[in-house]
Amino acid sequence: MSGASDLLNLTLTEAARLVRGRAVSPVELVDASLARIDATDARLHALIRVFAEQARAVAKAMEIMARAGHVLGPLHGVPIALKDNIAVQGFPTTAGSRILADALSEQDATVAARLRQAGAIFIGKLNMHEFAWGGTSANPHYGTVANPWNTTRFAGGSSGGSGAAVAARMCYGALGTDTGGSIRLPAAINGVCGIRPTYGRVSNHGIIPLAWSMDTAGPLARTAADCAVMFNVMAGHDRRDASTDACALDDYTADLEDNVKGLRIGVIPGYFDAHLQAPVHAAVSQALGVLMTMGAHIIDIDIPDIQANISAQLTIEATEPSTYHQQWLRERPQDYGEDVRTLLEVGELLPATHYVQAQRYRTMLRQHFLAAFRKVDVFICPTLPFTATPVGATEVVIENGVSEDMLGAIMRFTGIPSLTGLPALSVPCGFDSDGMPIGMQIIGQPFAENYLLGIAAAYQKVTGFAVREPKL
Amino acid sequence: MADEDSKPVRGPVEHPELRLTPDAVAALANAASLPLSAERVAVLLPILRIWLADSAALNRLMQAPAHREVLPITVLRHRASDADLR
Repeated sequence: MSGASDLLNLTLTEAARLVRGRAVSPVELVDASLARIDATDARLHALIRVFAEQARAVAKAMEIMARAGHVLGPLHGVPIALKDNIAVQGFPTTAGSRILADALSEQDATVAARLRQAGAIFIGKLNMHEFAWGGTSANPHYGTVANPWNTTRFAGGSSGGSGAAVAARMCYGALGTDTGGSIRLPAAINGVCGIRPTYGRVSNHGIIPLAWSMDTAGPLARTAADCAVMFNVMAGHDRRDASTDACALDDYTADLEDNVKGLRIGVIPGYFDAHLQAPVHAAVSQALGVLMTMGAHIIDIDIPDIQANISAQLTIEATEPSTYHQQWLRERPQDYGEDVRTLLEVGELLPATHYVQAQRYRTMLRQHFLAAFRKVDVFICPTLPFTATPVGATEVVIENGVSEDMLGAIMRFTGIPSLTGLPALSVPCGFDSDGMPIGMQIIGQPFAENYLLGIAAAYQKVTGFAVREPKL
Repeated sequence: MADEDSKPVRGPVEHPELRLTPDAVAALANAASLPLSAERVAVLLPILRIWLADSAALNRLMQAPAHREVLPITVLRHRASDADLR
């Protein structure tokens, strides 16, 4: 390799292959990542903590192991960063909060342990929306995460640091968590891939919860193939998380790029194609056209009462976190950022019957989608109805010059998989006239992550969005 | 009948956005043992007006006779493997 820039532009899959082949040293990868962080993070605020010393020490050990032909796993020697609500042994897990600023973790979260066993080198802990309760990553304690494509724009959230760090080439992959869209939103806003798994496919053990009945963890990386490598390592039953399912796992890296011919794509007319910023509508329509030229078919599907999903989501996502935070909200309310404190207080005051009705609506919505999957293989829609707004904005204009609350707008499409527990992936599908990325969401059947990754990989093979790089 | 069953329940429709007052929010907070200053009540009031109105609409949808058999998605399920814990 000719230099750090070339190393940073490798995909995770390429970097791992070069390490295994001893063409690149883990030390080179870590040094390149750390140099990139040094050069850019003062502007991006993507990281809360950098493991420089530890990462270099581990990289040296992995370099010696690789030279001796001993490779720990598919991520051997590859720098990875983790959202700071995921425990890493010996370091605080702040969840982006002041309340947990000194909360030292005694053991790895299951997903962290699995990545470590597969050879990943942890380069740092990533900034996020405080306690994952919000979609902007405007964090009052650790700085506002900025978008690498334009640092005056927001990076999305709650896994904003994960999306920004991957887009900015600070690491080859990142872990995020997704309750109402917190992997897919920053993936779309920062122009990278991210997958929310089927609820129960990936362990939440060792992760600070937001809303127990919707929380998931998943990878963000530049390509779907990279996400597949990480997902292979992360997925599977965990006896320490009762929500995880013991069903058989796929090899998520097999059959990539082989899933589009004959694919039946469901769209919900009047919902998936309505109330979008014009560039988002154009980009997703164009992406559907690309998939049709590859052999896919578009099928209109009506899902009854789909509009109610946002209220159901807000009710659940408000009530469950307020339950988890009850003690701190009473004893240390001043230690929360204003927005999160407000949402937690609102969640305390919603009637229990509203919460249970929302949970009943989820059953109904899931049944509608499972029935629809007899006619289609996946659903495709925009990940978000808009592109990145200016940092600090709490409202967004989607059409006709009318401002609306950003939280509800964010959840318009990402909330559907969150409520139904279905897997969903966001893949870059274009840019607006300001050069801000646009994402397309692919929603699949339960435990069909391999299918989603294959479609996204096939799409990425014929489009060039994954190779574009933000100028920082 | 199916069409009739799928209609939301008719009757007096509540509009919490019209009724909710600072005193009502304070009373809710008191019932939840959540200390809230008048300033905090003022912050929460406009948000609650919108959220409660929306969730009341969701309630009316889920009250329909056609949905009476729908269970919450969070129902308890035992697994055969749980028996191994004994």
